[in-house]
Amino acid sequence: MQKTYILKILLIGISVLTFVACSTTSSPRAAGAAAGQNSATASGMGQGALFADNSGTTAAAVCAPCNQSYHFDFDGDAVHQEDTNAIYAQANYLVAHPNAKIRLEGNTDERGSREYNVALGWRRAQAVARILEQQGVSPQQIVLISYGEEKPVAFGHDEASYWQNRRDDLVYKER
Amino acid sequence: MATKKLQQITYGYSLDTEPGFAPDGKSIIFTSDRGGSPQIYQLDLQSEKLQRLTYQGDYNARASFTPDGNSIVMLTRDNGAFNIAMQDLASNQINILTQSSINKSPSVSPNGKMIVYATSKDGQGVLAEVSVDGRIKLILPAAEGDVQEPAWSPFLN
Repeated sequence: MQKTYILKILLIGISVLTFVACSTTSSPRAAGAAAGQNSATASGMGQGALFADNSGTTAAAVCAPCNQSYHFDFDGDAVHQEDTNAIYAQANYLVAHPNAKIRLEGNTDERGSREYNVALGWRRAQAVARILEQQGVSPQQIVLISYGEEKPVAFGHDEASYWQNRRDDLVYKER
Repeated sequence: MATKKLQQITYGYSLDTEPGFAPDGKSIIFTSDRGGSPQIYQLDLQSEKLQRLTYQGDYNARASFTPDGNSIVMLTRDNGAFNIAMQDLASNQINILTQSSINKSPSVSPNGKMIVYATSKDGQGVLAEVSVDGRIKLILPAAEGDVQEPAWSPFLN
């Protein structure tokens, strides 16, 4: 009983977030204006992870073209199933706008080996790039970079922070 | 070095990183996740024979040899914590030398007695040392800022 109640609240929370994210895309100008905040909104998704278990249930909003983050498991480079709709939407936009360009920035949490983490971040960037390219996006539209563990967005030493830091940031350079 | 020619020595889609020479110069060790998790591998440069050195745990990385070539020092994950460990290559016995959660970048002293590594204290990145038998531990106080990626200099006269 208690569990379903919490789940409902969580679902309402997520749908509100999604709604907010969608509403910004209804006008391209507003989307542009909100772009700066969008990465914050997207990583704000990570707050859902405070309530949910660390793996999954934090789908990125379908909001293309918008800057957003996709999260990963520890030492993992598999894109989470629930993020694919958001990535497909970005792919559709990029295919429809061949002059648009993005940068995929792979990041890891602070644990493990620094040099290994640079390689792991690179793999995460590649993982999202591969999905975009499978959807028909030209490799010329995508630039990859890995920051390894050097660019955290959350500074705690707990799973909630680590979850937020294990991410790809998709950043539009040209829309 | 003379010809500046690069030669690729590891192949495949796995993530191969953090290479280091054995003291005799005949082989290298490196981190690879070709087995599904990061582990240490040794590649003989003459025969190109590859051997996996670590089997304990699901995360072993950033290895380097002790100067006598008998052991490797590395970063290992044990019960969710990342600690500095030493593995004897004859017996494959692993000795975990530190007991906190976030440690990295071990570097063995030229006399093979001490290991300097990066850790954090009160949110600040600092360097610490541990003896190879794990009995002596100390933290090197940092005046300010974060300190990371330590390395010993060779013996100097």
